Amino acid sequence: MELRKNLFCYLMVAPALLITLALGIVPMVTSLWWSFLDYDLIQAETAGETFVGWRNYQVVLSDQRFVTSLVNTVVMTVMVMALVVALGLLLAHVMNAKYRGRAIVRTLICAPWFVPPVVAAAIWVWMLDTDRSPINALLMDWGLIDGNLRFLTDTTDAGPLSLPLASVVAVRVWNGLPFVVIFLLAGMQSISRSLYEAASIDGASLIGRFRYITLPLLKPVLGVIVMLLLITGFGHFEINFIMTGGGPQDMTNVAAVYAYQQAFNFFRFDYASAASGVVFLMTSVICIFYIRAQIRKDK
Amino acid sequence: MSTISVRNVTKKYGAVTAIPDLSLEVTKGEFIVLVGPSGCGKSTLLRMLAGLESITEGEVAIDGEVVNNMMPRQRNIAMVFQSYALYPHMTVAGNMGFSLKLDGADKAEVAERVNEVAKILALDSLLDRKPAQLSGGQRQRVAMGRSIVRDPSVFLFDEPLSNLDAKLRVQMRAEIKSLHNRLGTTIVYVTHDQIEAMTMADRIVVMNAGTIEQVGAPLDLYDQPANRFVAEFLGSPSMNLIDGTISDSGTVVLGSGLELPLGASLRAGAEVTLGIRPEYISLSDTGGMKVRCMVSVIEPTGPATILVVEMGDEKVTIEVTGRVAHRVGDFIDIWMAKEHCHLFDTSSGIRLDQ
Repeated sequence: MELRKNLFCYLMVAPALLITLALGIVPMVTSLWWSFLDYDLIQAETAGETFVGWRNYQVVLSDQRFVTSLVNTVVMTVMVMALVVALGLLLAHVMNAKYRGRAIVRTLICAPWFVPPVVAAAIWVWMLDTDRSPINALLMDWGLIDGNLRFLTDTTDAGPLSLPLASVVAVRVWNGLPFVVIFLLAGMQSISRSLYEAASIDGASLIGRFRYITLPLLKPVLGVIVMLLLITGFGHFEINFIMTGGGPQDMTNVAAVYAYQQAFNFFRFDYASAASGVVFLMTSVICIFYIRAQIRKDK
Repeated sequence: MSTISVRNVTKKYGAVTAIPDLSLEVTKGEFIVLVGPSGCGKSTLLRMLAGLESITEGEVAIDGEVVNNMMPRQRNIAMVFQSYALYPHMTVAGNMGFSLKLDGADKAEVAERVNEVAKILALDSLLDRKPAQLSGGQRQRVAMGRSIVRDPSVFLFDEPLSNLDAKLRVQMRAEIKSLHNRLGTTIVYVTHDQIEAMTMADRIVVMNAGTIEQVGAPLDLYDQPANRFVAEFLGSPSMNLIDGTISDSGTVVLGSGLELPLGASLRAGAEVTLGIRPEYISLSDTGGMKVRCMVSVIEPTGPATILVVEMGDEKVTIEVTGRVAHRVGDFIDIWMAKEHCHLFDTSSGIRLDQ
């Protein structure tokens, strides 16, 4: 009986496992293997693919463009994570509160979720176009700026920060926010109302209740969200790629876009795989923390 | 210690009126119990005192000061919730000291006060535990400790014992009462359990459908219920209530045709309900009104036996001390103590003076 029950469970998860294996594990292992080969697509026919050890890693890590893209990856991921969590907490409160027209506000907050990242990126490229941007028109009308802001092409920078980087971060926040808000809202709704009542009787103000009740009780949810945002953020590709292609002057280039360029612009699958390998290592570290936290929770 | 005045308070939820018009005075240091069936408005009233519900109309004053627009924390009250509402992420000490911490008291002061109260409630060995590691009774005590630490002027209890098992409930009942004797703080206590109300209260407020049916000392309410609702609500097993009419000769004629020499001063033809508590019916001749009945149920509880007998079409409950030799189906004589019979107007339920 026990055996049959287990067999049934394995049968149920088998399709998901097979798909993960075919679309996730196999490409990942292949890519990791390629990162140790000399794999130049143009010369592969004649020269073949020879094992070169860590050489590809040495090459990409000494490429200034890759280092810049790594810095950008970390900066953008941390900025997106911080902004999404902060705004997510605020908007989750807005969604949780009871007032007239709440359904409309909830729909508006969730709306970006219905737009696929690729489409969102394309829409925002138009919205942030220097000459046609409605945002520029609005800022101009209010007298806040004299000339059009070059959201995606301004090359003035301050360290790793720049207007194009901020613009791409903003779009990534816009697109990623609903998921986090829903997550946090679910977490907040699981907190008993009587705890807030007890806290108000104990003398906690609105901010006190947030600090001493909401925040600590959301900690497990927040932990999961932060780790998920870091994992997905380090490997993020589509919004950066579509909005700026990594430009201007690599200001918004991230590791995933760098890897794409190596593979499909320069046909260096070996360097692309090594760059991906570095991202894989970064996400693995976060994954270890994530899995450890999950195991600890189960205990 | 504080006084509480509830003056013509109304509570409406949209078109629904939960409390139509309620007034109540609570004196200094009094232990007052609001009791009534579910949905009678007792918790709503308590939550209005706490400041957790707004007051639609009327005034609530604590120590003469109207608190309608004050936040809960400005009212100097403490509340124990039915669910205890302990902060799950804080230790027992953290839970108990939370209000002092918010008040800006320094750590040593908080610790001292928490220890002091923990000793009173025998919680001193549990201070480092989280609520999840405590039993129901311990959580209940922490919830009380949290409210005592603040030294409030009023304690509000919202059905604090309903999540405990029967044995623990009896124990906690005694603890709360001795705590009241010790601290002397005004307590407003909500329960649906009439035994809790009877055993703990200085005064009981019996509520029904948002209104007060009767206010008074427990035994006064028990002995002289103002109406049929109070008569039926207090006491377990509850009072026997039998409908009848007043005859021309001034006796009460029950539905079964049985005639009892009661209600002489009442108008002939009036429809009345006769009430008598189970313990005032005897199986031996104690000089009351004798009636012949058939035993239909016998429930021995140990110290007492509860019998249900058929008197004509009516079922009557009797409680006698000790055990009985009768069997179901036996015909027996019972004696009803005349001085313990109550008459209520059948339609309005109001008590009638005989």
